[in-house]
Amino acid sequence: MASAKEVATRILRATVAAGITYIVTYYLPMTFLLIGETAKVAEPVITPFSALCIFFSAADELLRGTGGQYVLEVVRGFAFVAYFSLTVGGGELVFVIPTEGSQAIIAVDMTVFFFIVVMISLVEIATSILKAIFYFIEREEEELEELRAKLLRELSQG
Amino acid sequence: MRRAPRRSVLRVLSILATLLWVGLAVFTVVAIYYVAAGGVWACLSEPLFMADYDKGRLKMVIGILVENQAIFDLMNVRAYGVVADTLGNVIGTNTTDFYYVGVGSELSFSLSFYLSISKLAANPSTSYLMTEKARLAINMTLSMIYAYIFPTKAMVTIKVDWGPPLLGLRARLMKGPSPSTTCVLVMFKNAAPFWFKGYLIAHLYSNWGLLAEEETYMLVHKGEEKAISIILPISPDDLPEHYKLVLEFKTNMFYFTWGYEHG
Repeated sequence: MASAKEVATRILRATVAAGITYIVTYYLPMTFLLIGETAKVAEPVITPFSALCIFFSAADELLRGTGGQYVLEVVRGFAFVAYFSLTVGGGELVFVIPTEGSQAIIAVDMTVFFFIVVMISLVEIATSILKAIFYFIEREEEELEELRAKLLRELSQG
Repeated sequence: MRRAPRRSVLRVLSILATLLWVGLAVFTVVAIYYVAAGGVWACLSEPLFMADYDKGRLKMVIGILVENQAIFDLMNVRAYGVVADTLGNVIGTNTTDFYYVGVGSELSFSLSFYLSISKLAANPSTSYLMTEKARLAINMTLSMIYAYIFPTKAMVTIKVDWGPPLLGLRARLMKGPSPSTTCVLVMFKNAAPFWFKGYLIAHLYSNWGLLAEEETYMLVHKGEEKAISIILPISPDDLPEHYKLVLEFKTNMFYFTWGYEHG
């Protein structure tokens, strides 16, 4: 059982992580990188991305050092794959930009970008699954070691 | 002893994934930053009409300027477009070659549409463009590959006013200079961006066949209002109640027939 102090520390760390993630993934891009019309166009894409990042960074801090952390990492990998596939829909991001006299439609084909994202996510998911497997194997091995030591102690005493 | 290889595999995979994420994030942010900061931009000129009098076609030219002040090359830069009228009739299509715009350079090229006026005149759905003003829509697409992984298309519609060569074409029959002749008075204005010359032939038909025909030579300048008279060798008294007048324009730029029935 975790002590109250440990829980409080975890909550504090999760809050700090969420704050930093918010600044990096939402505040800085919307304030300095994307200005005016571009920010308006990019906001529907950036907001859910930022929300996902904030949630997972906070949850990661809360579950750090437990088996749940690795499960969370796998979920995060799939969540980002789902996010990108929903965001880029048919593989294109379309922006409408008003120009002099008419409108310009800018369509960015995200297929290659999405492919790279999925590949990296798969590497990350594989890593997380391996981490989870190794974590539980190591825990079992530690328990076996403890039992072995206990048995040896009992045998030597007997 | 057994844990060491596991941990090193995990470490390598974690570092690889992190490096790939960071690399992709930095690459994407830099690419977006340069576009958002106006590092890559393109502009189009107003359509310019140029007549090719030898081939009898009208060339519509749109100039395109692409400037790349970003830090990634623009590859496979190409423009293509479709010219259509407001009814959706496709009048012309064309595409350019592929171009490359390096960092810190600019490229100007043009997209041309070749409009055959005779084909427009021969097609029943577009023949109205010979006598009526219209508004044409040029749907332009500029495609390129930006920053190696972002194929991008910019689509814009340019509206252009079309002036017909035979604006307000009308004709009527009158008494000729002598009692045995009939005068066909043909009036129109050349609102097209080209002049034309050639023959105007008037055919007069009754229900039983050709009554009379005559031709005259004409030269019509840009913006000129023209009234052309053709003398037909037929007395106005001999005209039947029901007749059909057909005007045949055989010019250097187009071939067009137009007619109306009386009675």
